[in-house]
Amino acid sequence: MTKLTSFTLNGEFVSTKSALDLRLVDVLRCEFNLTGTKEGCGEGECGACMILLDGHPALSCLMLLGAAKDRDILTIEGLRATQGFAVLSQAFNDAGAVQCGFCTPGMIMTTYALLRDNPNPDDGAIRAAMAGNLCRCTGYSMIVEAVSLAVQRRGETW
Amino acid sequence: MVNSHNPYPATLREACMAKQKGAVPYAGGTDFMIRHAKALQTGQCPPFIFLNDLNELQGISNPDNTVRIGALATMAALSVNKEIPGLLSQACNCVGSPALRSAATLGGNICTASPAGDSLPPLYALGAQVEICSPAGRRLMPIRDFISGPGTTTLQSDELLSAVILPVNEFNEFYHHKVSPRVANAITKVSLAVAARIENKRIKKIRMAFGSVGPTIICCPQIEAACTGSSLSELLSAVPELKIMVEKTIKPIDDHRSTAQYRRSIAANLLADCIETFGNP
Repeated sequence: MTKLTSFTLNGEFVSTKSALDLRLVDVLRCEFNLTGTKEGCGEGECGACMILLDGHPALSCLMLLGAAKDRDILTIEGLRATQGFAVLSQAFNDAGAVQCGFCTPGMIMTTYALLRDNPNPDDGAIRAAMAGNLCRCTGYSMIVEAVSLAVQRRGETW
Repeated sequence: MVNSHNPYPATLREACMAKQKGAVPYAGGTDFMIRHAKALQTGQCPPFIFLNDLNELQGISNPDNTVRIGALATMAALSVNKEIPGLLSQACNCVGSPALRSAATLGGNICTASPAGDSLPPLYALGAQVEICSPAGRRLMPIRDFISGPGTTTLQSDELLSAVILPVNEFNEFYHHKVSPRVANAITKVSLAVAARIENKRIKKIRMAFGSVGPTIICCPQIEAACTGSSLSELLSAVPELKIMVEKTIKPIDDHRSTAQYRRSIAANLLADCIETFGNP
C-alpha cells in the first residue's frame, strides 16, 4: 500500500510516495534535491537543517516525512527568490559572518523568521532566537552583527 | 516499513486502539526521533501514529478553577501563555532551543518521564493531574503516581495521555531555576520548582520539587512541613537547617552530565536562593 504525502514546498504543492518514516531532511535533500538544507548533528542540536514549518523555524532532522503532511515548508532555496534573502546574504557577507558556510542556510532561515516577528531585536533577543544555531568557525559576534546589519537595511522588505 | 493501520487516526479512540496493537505515538517528534534514530536508519522503526490531527488533544481551557492543557500544547505555546501558572511557562521556556520548543509537546515531555524533564518539577509542585484516555473512557491521576521511574509511566498499552489539569489561584508566589552548562540546548543538571501561598509574609502552603537529582522528580514533604506556618524572616534564619534537609532528601548520582556532590550542593543552594528571593522581593 503506497501512501501519498502532500505538502507545500517553497510555495508549490508537492506530493511524494516516499515512506512516512523517512526524515524530512533526507527527503528534501535526496528526493527534491534541495541540498541547501544541511545535516550537521542529526540530533536537533546544531540548527544546520533549519527550515520554516508553517512560518516557524523547525528542525528537519528531528521530523518524519509523515509529520509534514499538509504543512507549509520553506527551505533556503525558497527564500532565495525573495528580496529579503538578498538583504540577509549581503549582511552576512559584509559582517564576515560566513566562514565555512555550513551553518549559514540555517542561520539565515532563523534570522528571516526573527526579523519578521520582531523587526527591531536587541543583542539579547538576537542571541536568544539564534540559540539553536551553532557555528564552529566564526564565533557568534559576527553573526549577531550580521543580523543587526540586516535590521538596519531591511526597510519594508519582509 | 508499512503501517498495517492508518498512521493518521481520526479519533482518540482509533489512536488508542492502534497503540494497543503496537503503534508508537508521534507528537512533536523531538524525543521519538532520537529514541528511534538507529531503527529509522535501518528501516526497523516500529509502526507509528501521528497524533497532530487529533483536536481532542489540543487547546487550553479553564473549567472550574482549573486550567486544562491539551497534551499537544507545545513548549513554545506554553512559554507565552498567560492562562497557565507562570511557573510552568518559565520552565517550558528553558527546554532546548526555540525550534525545539515549537515542536516539543507537554504530553511528550511527561510521557518521556526523564528525571531531567523540564516541565516536570513545576507540574509536581503545582499538584498537576494527568488525564488518561482509552477506548473504555477517561481517568485522572496525580502526575506523581503516573511517572513510575526513569523513562517509565503507568500508561497501559491502550491508553494515551490526553491532557494535564492544574489548579489555579492556589499559590501566589513561584520560584524556578534550572542549572545547566549553558543556556540553550542543555540537559538539566539540577532544577528546582517551588509554588507557595504567602500571606502577610507567612508561608500558608508550599510545594517544592527537584529535577535531575533522583530516578524521578523528588518531592519534599518534610521540608514543606517544616516551612509551613513560618514567617519569611524565620525561614531566612532556618536556611542552614533546610539546606541539610535538602541534601538528605534528594538522591543524586554521578553521570556524564554532573556529579552527585555538585548536584547535592547546588540543590541545597537553590532552596536557599528561593527563600532569599521570597524574603527579599
